[in-house]
Amino acid sequence: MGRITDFFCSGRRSAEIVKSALIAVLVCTAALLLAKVGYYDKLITRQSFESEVTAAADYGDDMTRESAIPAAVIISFGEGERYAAAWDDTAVTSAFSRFAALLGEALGSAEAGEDITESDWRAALEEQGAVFDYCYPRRLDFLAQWLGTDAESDAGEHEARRVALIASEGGVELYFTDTDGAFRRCSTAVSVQALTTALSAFEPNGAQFAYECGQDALAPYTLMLPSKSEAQAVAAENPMSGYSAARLFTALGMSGNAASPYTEPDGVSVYVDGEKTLRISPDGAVTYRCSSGGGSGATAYEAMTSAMELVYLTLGETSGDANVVLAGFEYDEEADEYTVRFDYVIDRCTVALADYDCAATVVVSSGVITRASLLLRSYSLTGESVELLPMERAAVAASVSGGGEMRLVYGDNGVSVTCGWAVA
Amino acid sequence: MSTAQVKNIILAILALLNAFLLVLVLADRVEERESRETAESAIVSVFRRNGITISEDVELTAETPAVVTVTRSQDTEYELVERLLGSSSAEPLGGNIWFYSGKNGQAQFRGTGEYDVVVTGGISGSDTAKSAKKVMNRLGMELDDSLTLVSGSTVTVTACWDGLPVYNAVTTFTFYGGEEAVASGTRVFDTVTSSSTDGVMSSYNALIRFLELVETEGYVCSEITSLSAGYIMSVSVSGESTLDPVWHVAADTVELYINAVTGRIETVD
Repeated sequence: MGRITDFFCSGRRSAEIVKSALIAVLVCTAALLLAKVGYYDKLITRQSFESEVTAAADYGDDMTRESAIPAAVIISFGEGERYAAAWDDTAVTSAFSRFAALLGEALGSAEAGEDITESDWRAALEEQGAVFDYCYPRRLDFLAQWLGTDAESDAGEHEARRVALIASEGGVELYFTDTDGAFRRCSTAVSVQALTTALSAFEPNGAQFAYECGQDALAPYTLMLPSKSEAQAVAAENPMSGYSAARLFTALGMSGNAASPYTEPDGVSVYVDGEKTLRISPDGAVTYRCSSGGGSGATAYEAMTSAMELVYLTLGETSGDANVVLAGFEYDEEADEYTVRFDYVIDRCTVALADYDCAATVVVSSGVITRASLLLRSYSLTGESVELLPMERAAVAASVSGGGEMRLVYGDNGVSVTCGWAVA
Repeated sequence: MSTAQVKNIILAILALLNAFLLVLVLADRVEERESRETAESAIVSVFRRNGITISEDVELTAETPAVVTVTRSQDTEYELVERLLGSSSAEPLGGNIWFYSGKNGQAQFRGTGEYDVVVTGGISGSDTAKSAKKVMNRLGMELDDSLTLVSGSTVTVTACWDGLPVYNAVTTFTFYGGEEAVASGTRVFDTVTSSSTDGVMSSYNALIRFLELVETEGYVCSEITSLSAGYIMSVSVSGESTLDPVWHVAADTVELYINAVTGRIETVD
């Protein structure tokens, strides 16, 4: 009897062990089948979205990439034939993408340069190469960093509005026009084959510089692109309704709890947090003052980066279909202050603001943002087109009014946005 | 309730759950197969109406490749160079260009992906294609053997990513007998930073796009002979590149490389 009992007990124990094993197996197969059904994919998708939201708060390379892209890319095939991408964000970005790494390589490997004459510059423009017109001066050391290299040669000490890569017998040369109107040339380590391969993706589209087509009243390097006959229509609005001041507090390092708001008779909300004062106007104008620096100093690049980060977290979040690009960078040695300016651009065209010189001005002193003036605006492409005056006729009108550099500009008068040729 | 009874209940629940999930999976598979057959039939029908047949050898359900961002790692590059050239010195030339010199030769690598190598030892044999492959493998690259071209002492090879050819990552070798060779070309960087199939055209959509291009560009063809996926590498910032998936659609009279993200025709030399 005892043996029978023992037998049944051991049998029951074995059965329980088998059941446990079976439970484990069924749990594993259920997990596998859930994976096949795609349950985990949905979980991962939600988590990816959450990480995207976090990443958006890190401005990362967005603004530097935007500021590295020129306003126009002009390709020269030799013998006066050219292709130009201008006033068209897609075309310019696509064209520049073929040269960005080469330009970075050129800036990083540029040998000590030499001053050249304007004739030398124009002769270079007749050779095979690419010209990048930034419209605003660009420090070449900043540009090199944005393009993934370092400009350790003396090229990096210059600021330039137009930069060119030109194929020559000795290799690819870097040409640029600095802000004093001087022309400069450096040899680089970029391979001619790499440049000519990039150039081969384009075909002439009738682009010329003003000096090449007899437009003597215009600035000589004004781009003439006869095929540009229309532009995208844009609407603008004030983004302040529904805009939370907390976003500005975060961007400016102000404490939302400590800031004490009061409203002035003209509707301007004023927040004070210790030495920091923030004024927010209903029309989107924001001014910030910090009465003391207290910083440990900053390099030029660090100052530019601080300013860019502030602008990205403010203008960048409300600009809509407009981009925000670096428009100016100045250093006051006496005051040890960097003044960094930004503009809105749409389709690589500057947005000229009535009553404001630029979209944002940020002053960085000893590594700390001490002043900032921002204009928050929101732009949207309406999907319609605006017909433009043919460039030749616009050039005639420009010459009557004194001439200068003619380019396509959006004008924002605070109510509506227009687009047309403007002369600077 | 005893432990045994609890286990019995759990077993019953798990068995039902597994059965339910198995039915779902099988239903998914059946639905997938049916929609695939419907799509294939629709594609064939659309092409037939346009006077174009699709060869039975064409694999219509090729897997959609991802858009991959790959960056250059200086450390990895140095290790790979040493695998090829032996213990090497490294010298920066500016502009993200590095020059390496080792026991078995010299090399120059750029942030654009271009590179030049002179190998003076460490490879041997009369089979130049094999030697080229050995060099590429040591530099961390797999090859698409079907795209290897041998012409005398010159070998042209195409690198692969994830088993798919990167059409513009081409290297040309010139062998000088014995153990010497000069190689120039474009390499694929080594460190993946992102990979996504969002917004990438499927093989079906690539065929429809091909049909659109035939109509708009005026190509004349009567049979699709092959469809395969690959990549085109673009370097937007020094040291950082994107592998854009492309669909290679070959017909009897024309072949196109269609960018699977933008739908544009890519030029492959």
